[in-house]
Amino acid sequence: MKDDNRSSERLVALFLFGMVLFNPLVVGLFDVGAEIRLFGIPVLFLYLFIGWAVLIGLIAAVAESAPKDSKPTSPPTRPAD
Amino acid sequence: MAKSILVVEDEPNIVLSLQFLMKKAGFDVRVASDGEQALAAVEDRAPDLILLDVMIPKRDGYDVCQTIRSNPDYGDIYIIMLTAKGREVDREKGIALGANDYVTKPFSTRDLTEKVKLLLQGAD
Amino acid sequence: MIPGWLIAVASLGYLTLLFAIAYYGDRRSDEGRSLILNPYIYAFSIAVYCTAWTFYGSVGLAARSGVGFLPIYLGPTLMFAFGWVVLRKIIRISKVHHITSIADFVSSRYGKSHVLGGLVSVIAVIGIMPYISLQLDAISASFNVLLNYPELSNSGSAIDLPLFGDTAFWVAVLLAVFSILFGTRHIDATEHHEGMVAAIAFESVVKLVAFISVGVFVTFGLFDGFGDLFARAAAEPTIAKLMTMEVVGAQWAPLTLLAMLAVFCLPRQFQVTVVENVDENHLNKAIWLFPLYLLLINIFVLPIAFGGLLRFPLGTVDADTYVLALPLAEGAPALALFAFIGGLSAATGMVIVATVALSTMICNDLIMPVLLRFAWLHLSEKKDLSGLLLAIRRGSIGFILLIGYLYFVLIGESYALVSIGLVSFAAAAQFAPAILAGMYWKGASHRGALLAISGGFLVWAYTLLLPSFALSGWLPAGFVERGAFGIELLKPYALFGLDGLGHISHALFWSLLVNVGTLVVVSLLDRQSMIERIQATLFVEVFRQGGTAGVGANIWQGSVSVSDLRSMAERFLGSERTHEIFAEYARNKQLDRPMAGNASGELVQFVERRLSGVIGAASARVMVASTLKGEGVGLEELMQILDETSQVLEYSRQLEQKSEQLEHASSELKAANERLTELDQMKDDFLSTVTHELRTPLTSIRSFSEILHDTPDLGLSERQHFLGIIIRESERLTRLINQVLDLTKIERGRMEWQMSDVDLAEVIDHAVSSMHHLFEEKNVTVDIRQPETIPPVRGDRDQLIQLAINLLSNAEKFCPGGNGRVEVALESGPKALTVSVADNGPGIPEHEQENIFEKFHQVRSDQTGNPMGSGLGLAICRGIVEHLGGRIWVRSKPGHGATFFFTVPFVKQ
Repeated sequence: MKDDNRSSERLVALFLFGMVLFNPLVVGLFDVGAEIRLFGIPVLFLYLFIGWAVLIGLIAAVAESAPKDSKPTSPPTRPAD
Repeated sequence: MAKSILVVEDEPNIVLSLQFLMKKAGFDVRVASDGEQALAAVEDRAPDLILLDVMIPKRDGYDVCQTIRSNPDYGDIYIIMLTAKGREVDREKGIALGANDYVTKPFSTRDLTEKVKLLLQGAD
Repeated sequence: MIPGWLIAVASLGYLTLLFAIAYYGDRRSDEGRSLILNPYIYAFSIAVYCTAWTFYGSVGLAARSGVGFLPIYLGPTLMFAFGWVVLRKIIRISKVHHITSIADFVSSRYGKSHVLGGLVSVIAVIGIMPYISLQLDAISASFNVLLNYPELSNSGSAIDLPLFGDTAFWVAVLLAVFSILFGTRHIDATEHHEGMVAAIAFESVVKLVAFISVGVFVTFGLFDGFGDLFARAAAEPTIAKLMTMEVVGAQWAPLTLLAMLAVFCLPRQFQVTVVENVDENHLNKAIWLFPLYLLLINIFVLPIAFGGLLRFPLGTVDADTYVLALPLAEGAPALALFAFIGGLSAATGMVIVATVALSTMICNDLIMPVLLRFAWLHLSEKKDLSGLLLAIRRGSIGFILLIGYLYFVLIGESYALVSIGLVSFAAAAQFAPAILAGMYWKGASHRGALLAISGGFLVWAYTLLLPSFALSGWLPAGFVERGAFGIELLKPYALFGLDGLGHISHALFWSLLVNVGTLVVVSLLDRQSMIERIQATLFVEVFRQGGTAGVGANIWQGSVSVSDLRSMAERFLGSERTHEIFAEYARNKQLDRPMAGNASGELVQFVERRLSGVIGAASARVMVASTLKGEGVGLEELMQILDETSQVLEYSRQLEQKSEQLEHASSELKAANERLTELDQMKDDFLSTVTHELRTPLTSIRSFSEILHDTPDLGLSERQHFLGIIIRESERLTRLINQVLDLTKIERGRMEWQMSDVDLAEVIDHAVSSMHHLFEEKNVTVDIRQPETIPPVRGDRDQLIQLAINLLSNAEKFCPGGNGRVEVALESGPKALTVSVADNGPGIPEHEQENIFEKFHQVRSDQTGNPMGSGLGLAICRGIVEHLGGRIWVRSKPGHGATFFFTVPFVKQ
C-alpha cells in the first residue's frame, strides 16, 4: 500500500501541475497573437498541445511504474460472502 | 637414593632450565617432550614427582594428569602443572584433575624449587 | 454528392458490423473468455466521451472561439490524473456494493434511499435529453449534408423539410432498436454488457481514424501542411483573432471544471468507467490512454476549422459541418462518407451507452421501487419478474429516445451543438458534490444530498433549461430578457445581477453554489439515521474495510427459509441464474449439503447483493425485507458492530505495525549482540594466545637469568650457553611483539604502505641472501628459477621482503636437516606475477591447509610435536598479499613437501 500511496501522491501532484499548466493566467503568457509562430504553428496552440502531451506522458510514467493491485476485482471475490 | 623427577615440556630451553634446576637441587631428572612419551616414561619407572606442562603435543597435560591419577598404582606421584595460561579456571581445572600444585609461567625458579622440595621432603 | 441509398447501405452495414462485434463479445463473455479483459479496450470504451459533439461541434466551436473547445478535453485529462484517488475509490465501492448506475451509487450511499435514487434518475433523464437530441441532430444533419451538398449544406435552414424531420425520427427508431439489442438482451446479475463495451471501443477507433483522416486531408491535401495553413489563416484578420485567448474569454476555467465533473458524473461515463469496469488495474492504463485519445482526436480540430473558414465564404456553410463539407467540396466523396461513418460512430456510441445507463436507472431506481411499494401484492402473483424487468428497460430506452427526439424537434434548432452538450454537462455536474462528499465525508447526510441535488437541479433548470424553452418560443421571450414575473434580479442568464460570465459558467456558478452550500449546511445540521451511518462508513472506509462489505452480515437475522429466499430471487433472476447463485454461495462456503431450513444472515445478504446488481440496492433491500419474518438485528446494534469492527481493524493494524517494529529492532539487537560476542570471543582467544606465546620465551629468559644469578660458580661454557639462550629468546620475544603489532596494523588498515613499482626478482634475491647463514647452518640448498625479464609489480618493497623472508624461513624450518632443499620460482601470468616457495619437508596435512593462514594456527612438527613458529608469519603474509590485491595459497602432499604460492599484480599499464 505504501508504493500505491506514493503513486497517488505523484498523480495528485501532476493534477496540480496540470492546473497550473492550463491556468488562464499562465496560458495568457503564451497568447502572443497570430503573427508569432514556431515551426509554422501559433505559439498558443503549440504551448497547449505540447503541455498537454507532456502532462499525459508524466501521468503515464507514474501510472506504469505503479505496482499493480494483485487482487482480481471481477468478479469481485468477497470472503465474507 | 635421590628422588626422581619427570620433566614433561616441549620447549627445549625450558626443559634445559628445569633439568639444571632439579639436578642442582639434587634430584634425578628424566625428560619427556609430549604426552605419550610422558606416560611411557611413567610406566617405565614411576617418578616421585612430575613437572607437567599443559600445552604439549599429542596428549595435553590435563589428559596425562587424569590418566596417571586414574591408576591407583601411581597414587603417590606428585604432579606440579606448569602452564603459560594464567587464568584461574585453568588452575582450578588442574587442581580438580588431581594436580598437587599449579605454577604459571614465567615462574620464579626459587619458588618452584621450594615447592618441589617441600612436596618431596614432606613425603619422607 | 452521394446517393441516398449508398449512405443508407453504408450506415446500416456499419451498424450491423457493430452488432456483430457486440454479439461476439457477449458470446465470448458467456463462454468465460472475455473479450474486454484488457486495459486498451477499457480506455477506448471510455472514449465514448467523444460524441458527435466532439466530431462535428468542436470544429464549429473552434471556428467561433479558437481554442475555446479545449477545456472540454483538458478537464478530463486533469480528472484522470486525479483518477487514481477518486475513480479508483468509486470503482471499488461500486464493485463491493454491486452498484448498477450513478443513481444507484448515490441512493446506496445515502441510506439506500428510494427518493434519492429516483431523483437522480429523473434529473439524469431530463439532463441528458438535450444531449441525446444533439446526437439525433448530428446524425440527421450529417446525413442531410452528405445527401444534398452543396445545396443544403447549412443545417440550420434545413429544419423545415419534412424529409429532414423524418430522418431524425427514423434515426431515433433505429437507435432505439439497436440500444435494446445491445443493452437489454438479457438480465445479468453482474450488470456487465461486455458485447456493448467491445462495440463501443471499436466505434472509438473508427471515429478517431475518421477524424484524423479528414484532418490529414485538409492539412496536407488542401494545404501544404500546418505551416502553410496557419500562415494563410493568420493573414485573414477574422481568423487571426481565433489564434488568441481573446475569443475564449472567461469561459476557460469554468468549462475545465465542468468537464472534470462531467467525465465521471455523466451517466454514460459512469456506466463505462465504473459499472463496466472488469478489472481495477485497467485504470492504471486508462488514466493516460484516455487523455492521449482526447489529445489525438483534437489535434486537427483547429486546422479543419481554419481550413473551412478559408475555403468557404463566411456564413455559407455551418462550421459544425466542415468535417463533411470540406471533403465534399474538394471532390473526395469517399472520405466524406468515411467521415460520416465516424460521426455516426460517435453519435451511436453515445446514444447506446446513455440509453442503457438511463434505462437501468429508470427501471431500478424509479419504476421498480414504485411498483414494489404500491403494487406489491399484484406483482407477487407473477412467477417470473425478469421478463418484466427487461420490458421496463426496453420501454425506457424507447421513452428516452422519444423525448430526445421531441426535444430535438421542438427546441434543438435554436442551439449550436456545443451549447446543447454543455447544458447536459451542467446537469450531470449536480451529482458531483453528493458523490465526492459521500466518499470522503461520513457526515454527508441523506437530507443534505437530497436537498443539494434538488436545489442544484432547480437552479440549472431555471438558468439553462427554461431559457432554452423560452428561446424556442415555448415560454414567453420576456422570461429571458426581463426575468421571471418581470423581476430584473431573476433574469435566468444574469441571476441576482451576475452578468458577463456566459450562460454556462453563470449556471454552473449558481447551481454548484446552491448545491454544495445546501449539502454542507444541511448535513451539518442533520442527524443521520442508522442505515445512513452504516452506508456512509462502508463507502468512506471502503479500502479499510478490506474491500468487503461483509461487516454488516448480521443485519438480516429475521427468519426466512431458504426456499422462500430462493423463490423470491427466482422471480427477478430466473431459475437458472438463481440456481447458479445459490450454488456459488454453497461453493464459497464449502457446504456439502443442500441448504435448507432458515437462511443464515450471510446468505440473505449475499442474495440481497446479487439482487441489487439487477434491481438496484434500494429495491433489493425492500424485496429482501419483505420476505423476512420477524425482526432483524437492530440497526443500532449493526452500527455498533461496524464501529467496533473498524476500531478493531485499526487497533490490530497498529498492533501489527508495532510488533513488526519491535521484531525488527530486536532482531537487529540480536545480530549486534552476536557480532559483539563473536568479537569478544575473538579478542579473548587472541589475547590468550598472545600471552601464551609471550610467556614461553619469557619463561626461558627468567629461568636462566635466575639460574645465572643464583649460581655464581657456573662454568664459563655453561654460562655462555645460558646467556646465548637468553639472547635468542629475547630476540624471539621482540620478533613476536613486532609480528603482533604488524598483524594488528594490517588487520586494522593502519599499516603505512610505501607503494612503488617493485622488481620482485630483486626482492627475492635480497631475502635469500639475508637468510644465507640460516640456510648454510642447516645445510639447506636454495634454488631460484626466474624468467629473463619480469615486469615490475605494484607494492611495498619492505613488506614484500618481509613476505619472502617469512615464507623462506617457514620452508627452512620444515626442511629436514642435512639434505634440505628450497626452490623459489617466479612465473609471469597475464595480470600478475606468481611466486612459489617449495620445500622438501614433511608437508602439510590436507585438513590443515585451509586454516594454515589463520593467525596462531601452528603446524606442529610430526617428529617432535613442537610448534614450529609463532603462528603469525603466514597470517601476516596473507595480510600483505591481500592488501596488494594478490592471493596466497598452499599445495602439499604429506610426505612430499609443501609449496606456498602467492601472486602480486603487475603495475597497470
